Amino acid sequence: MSESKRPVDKGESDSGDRTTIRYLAPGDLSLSRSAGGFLQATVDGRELPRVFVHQAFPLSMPNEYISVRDDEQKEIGIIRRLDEMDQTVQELIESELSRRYFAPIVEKVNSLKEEFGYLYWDVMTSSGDRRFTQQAKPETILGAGDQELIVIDIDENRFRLPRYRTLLGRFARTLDPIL
Amino acid sequence: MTTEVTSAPFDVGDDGSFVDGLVIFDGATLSVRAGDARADWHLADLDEIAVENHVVGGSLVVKSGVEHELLARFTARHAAPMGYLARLASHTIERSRDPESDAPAPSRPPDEEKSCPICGRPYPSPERPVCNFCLDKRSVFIRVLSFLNDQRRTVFVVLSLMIVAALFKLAPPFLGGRILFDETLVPGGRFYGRVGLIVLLMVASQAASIGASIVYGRLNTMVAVGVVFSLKRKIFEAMQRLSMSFFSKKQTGGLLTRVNYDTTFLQYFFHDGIPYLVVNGVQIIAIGIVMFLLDWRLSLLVLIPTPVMVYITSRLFPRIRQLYSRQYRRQSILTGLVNDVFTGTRVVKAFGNESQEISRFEPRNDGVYRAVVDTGTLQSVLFPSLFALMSVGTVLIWAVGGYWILAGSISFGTLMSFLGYLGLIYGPLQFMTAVVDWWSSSMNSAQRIFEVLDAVPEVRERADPVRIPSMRGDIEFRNVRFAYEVNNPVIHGISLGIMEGEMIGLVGRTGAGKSTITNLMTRLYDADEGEILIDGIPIKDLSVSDLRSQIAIVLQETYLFAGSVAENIAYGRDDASREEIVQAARAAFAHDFITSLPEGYDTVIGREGHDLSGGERQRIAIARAVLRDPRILILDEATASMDSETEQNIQAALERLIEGRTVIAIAHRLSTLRKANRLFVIEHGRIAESGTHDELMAIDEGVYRGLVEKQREALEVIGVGE
Repeated sequence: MSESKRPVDKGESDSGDRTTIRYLAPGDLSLSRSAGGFLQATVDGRELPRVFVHQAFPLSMPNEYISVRDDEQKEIGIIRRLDEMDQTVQELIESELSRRYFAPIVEKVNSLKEEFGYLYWDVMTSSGDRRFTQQAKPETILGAGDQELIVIDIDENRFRLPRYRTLLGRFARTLDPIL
Repeated sequence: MTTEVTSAPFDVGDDGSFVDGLVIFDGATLSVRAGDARADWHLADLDEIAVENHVVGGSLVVKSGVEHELLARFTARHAAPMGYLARLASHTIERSRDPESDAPAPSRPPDEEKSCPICGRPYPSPERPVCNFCLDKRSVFIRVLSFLNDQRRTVFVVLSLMIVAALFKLAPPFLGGRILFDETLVPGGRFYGRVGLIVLLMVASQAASIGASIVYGRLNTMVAVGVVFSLKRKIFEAMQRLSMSFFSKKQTGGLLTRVNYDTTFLQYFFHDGIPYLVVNGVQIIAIGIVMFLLDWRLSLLVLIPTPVMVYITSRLFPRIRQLYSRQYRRQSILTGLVNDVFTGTRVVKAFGNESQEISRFEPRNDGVYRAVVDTGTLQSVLFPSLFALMSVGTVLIWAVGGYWILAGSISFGTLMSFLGYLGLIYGPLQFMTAVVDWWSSSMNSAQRIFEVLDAVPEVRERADPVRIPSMRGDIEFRNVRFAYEVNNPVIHGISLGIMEGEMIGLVGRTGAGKSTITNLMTRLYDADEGEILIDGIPIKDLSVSDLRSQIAIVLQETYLFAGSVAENIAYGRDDASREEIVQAARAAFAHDFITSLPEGYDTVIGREGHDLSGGERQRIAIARAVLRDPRILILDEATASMDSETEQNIQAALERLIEGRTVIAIAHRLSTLRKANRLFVIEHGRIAESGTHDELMAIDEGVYRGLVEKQREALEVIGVGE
């Protein structure tokens, strides 16, 4: 086999007892990065060579309810609030989340033009300069919080626009029709 | 071992910043390069090379034992080539471990040019390498005009009449000004005293202009409506030709809902746009010339307010259009909510959620209110200001013209004619300032329509397909692989053989890939790799109509089209006689309930029609399949929505139907597969087990046995037992 399966493929994944949530307190979980660059964990004395983290509410509460999963995608437990965890755990999880939910933060919009139903962006982001194309329809924009937008391009890549009104400036009008 | 060198770009570095990297695989080594950095992995040291999908993009990961190592991260743009590279490398490892392995090499995804070579911007649709940015808009316009080709003569007549009408419009101000005041009412004038004649001429030229407008208006309506009529047909035909994937793709899905809106927009383009463009264009030029000939100095005065008017119109008209489209969007959101609540009214009431629904309605209703107010406010400022500006021009002419009359440098008639032309020219000028905006939205609409017209179906019939008017019904899958989304395969190399007349059961959890197998068999989608053969012939070589006319599908959810019961049973068999329809209904145990309906077989069902129960709909679907008399029958959860008694009837109906045909049945309720000759247990897109019921039950810890036991337990819990 050459591809990993996505957890959604598993149909009903047996996450242990289905009714009670296992919350992971700061003492329950220790994390480190493996030589290969992945997260490894120790939970209740059990060594897990690779763990995955998923946000349960990636848009509305990105730093709460973080599901920690083993390499079989079974849930080990949930971190109720990320900021209650140790500094190292927080940092490791944040970097793992930014990998899974990769969405560069737009820092400056150089240009935004509409042409035949597509929006052409030229932006400076936290990851570097990028040009991308977005289909001009409301489904390609997610709202995250009051001030933030997530724009999805034609390849399904995502870009975050915090305080988007200020960020967009004179280009706000171009985006307005699909907001 | 393969010697092919394959590479795949990656674009995200360890720290999440964009990089320009490349993974190269030469058959023995994986080499990762980004800038000056380079790292190599030898295949001999590795167990597996995999792509792991993230929510956005993914990672290339190598695995040896429990050690996993991250090689490269990439955005979604590079997912397809990276997936191919990973599959190729893994296949190479597999072959080196087991030289006997018959696993086929993965096939290379088509090379798609993803960015425009001129501007470097990514193409909006990979199937159609057209850059909207660099596209010559004139070429779109010319293509739009080509819709008029069939009616060239009528168009010519319309254009000529438009010019005639525009020219006749020029006469009244001249007659009513210069001729009337200077030549008719003044002693010594050329037409002195002949007021009647002049008035008659004025009326005649006005009448000629109006007459020509009426004729070209009628002709033009026929042309425009005709063009849109044939365009809608072309689009609908194109949509029918397209593959399933076109409809399920997120990128193109939105296009279809816009087709109606866009064709209507083009109708305006042909009906109102082009004619006004021609008429107004001719008028501006002609009036301009006449005004300059009458008095060039006054003409220059007219131009004073023009720049301001052009500026206001070109700035504010797009804004008005934006506001209108916002109003329209908010209106549809509100309608959507109302629809939603009325459709789900049972749930709303059962949950006692009426007040919450009202509070959900409030802000949306308010949104519509505000949008309407904004549009109205802007309009009520814009139009009076434009009118005021026009009056400035008129006042200037009155003032200066009056002075010049006193000074004797122009005649009173000239001034009157001039004012008449002034009234005629501002309207067309205003139209012209809005034309750019209007023209570009028309071209946008046209371009979206061309996207549908030009889309190439993914499932294509060969130029000279193999005809099999009567198929035996042997089916073979050879290492079939398929993914709806890049790097997320649903079917991983399935091989299976089904003999003519055999009944096969496909068993497995939801999402295991059972329905996908049947989708591939009917060529709703084409396999990415491997081959599917029917009667020994690859299905890609078969005539699509021969293939599909001999396969019938009964699904869990039956779609009934708006029409009578009889029409629904005869769907796909228009030639069926009444007798055949009744016979099919009888075979499907549907005849009794149909005849007890007040309108019997003539009962209108489907949208807005008579409501049938799940079991009744299902039996109509079975009757449909019976009437089709297929060689291959696919039952996809055909009895899932039935109560036990109905199910027994339907089982009996199905047993009649399956006789002598190749049958592939998918069922969760395993008891419905009792009659199957063999069962295939599908897990995560692979065949986990296969054999007869007894053979599968004999496997200790077998998947099938586990499923059967779970179902039995569940029935025992509720005290039914099987």
